[in-house]
Amino acid sequence: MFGPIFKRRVAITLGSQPAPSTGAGALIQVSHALPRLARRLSAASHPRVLDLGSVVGGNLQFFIDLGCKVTAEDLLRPVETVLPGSAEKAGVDWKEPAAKRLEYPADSFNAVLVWDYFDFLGPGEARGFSRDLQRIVKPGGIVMAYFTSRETERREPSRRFRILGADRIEWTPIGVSRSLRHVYQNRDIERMFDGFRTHFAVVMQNGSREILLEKKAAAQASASAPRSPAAG
Amino acid sequence: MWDKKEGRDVAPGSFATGTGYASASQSLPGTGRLVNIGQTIFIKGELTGTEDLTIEGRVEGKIELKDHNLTIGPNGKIKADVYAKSIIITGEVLGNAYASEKVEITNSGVLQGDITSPRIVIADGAQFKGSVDMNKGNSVSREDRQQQRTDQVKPMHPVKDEVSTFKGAMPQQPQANPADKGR
Repeated sequence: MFGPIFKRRVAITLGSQPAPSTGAGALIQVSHALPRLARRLSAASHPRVLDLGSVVGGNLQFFIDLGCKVTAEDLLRPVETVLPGSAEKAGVDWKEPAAKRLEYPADSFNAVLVWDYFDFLGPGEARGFSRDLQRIVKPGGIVMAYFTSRETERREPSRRFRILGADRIEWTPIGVSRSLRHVYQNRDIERMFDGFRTHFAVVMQNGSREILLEKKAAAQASASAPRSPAAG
Repeated sequence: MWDKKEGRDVAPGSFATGTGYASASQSLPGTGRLVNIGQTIFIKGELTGTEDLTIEGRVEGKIELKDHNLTIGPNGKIKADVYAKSIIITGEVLGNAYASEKVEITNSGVLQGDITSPRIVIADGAQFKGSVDMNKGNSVSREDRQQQRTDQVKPMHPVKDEVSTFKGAMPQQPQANPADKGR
């Protein structure tokens, strides 16, 4: 059912109780990835975290409590579209291989929280964005992401993810506009993140996959480089 | 608006209204009153003072209010580094914010810049791009972090009536995971 990328540490949680809600459309989901990520960050020295979701003060506080220096940027509501003099940065063409959507130096972060951002990217954009992530994540660093697993693509509002505790995240729809959520299969994710390995993955009851991807160290990356088709 | 205080003359009319502007380095008189920079005012330069200040206009340069509170109103547009005791942003700020007490971004506020403050409050809907530093020094040892979690970190709470149920259960001490070794 799952390809090689999911051979290690795959837990399937199906049939769990529906999560209670705290507001209009909000649902509290159990997160199995968050505590694992927190442990990794607690063990790191001067960890840096990049949160690319809707800015939530409590989320920043959560990682600050872990001793992290936190950087925040809402990719779905970029401040550049609001502040004068920054409009030229909006509408970056991610299909361009050299496009650097994320304005951070290479190997900057121990962890990047992408949340469900990939759902809103087409295949070309997703590949470009994953390349940019690979650039800014430190070797051994983690990308945390949600990928929808619905069989058919659907239009849904974007979400705000609010960390409520060590293993609880509130998912709240934002606004009324609905954007198409793309569905990426496991092989698609594996191709997008060829410089990463799956650290942890779980299928949630709401159909989303919660994934921690770990950037390979340089030596691991070269050793696991795909062989030429002739040698296969 | 600008009072003449002993030894600290502030020339009235130094700031043009409307579309004009004047470069200036001005100190606000220490009357203890709340001073408001109106929506049509554009200040380019270094703005310092010893009282609370609300800005509804435009400021480019640097704003420094030691031991006092700064509020950027809904119409305020700031392109400057800001230093104050507490900073409340309901308008737009392009620059770094340094507060000795608190930085607060309301749901209509926009901040692009880094925050250095022992306490931050970011409401849902606020727009923020930058880093957060809650320590004066970046190099904090793990032992110091443990102590700071108990005596420095303040709980976050939203500005407006919204549900925010951050149950701050501190993560447990990391357990050694043999599978993580060597990564």
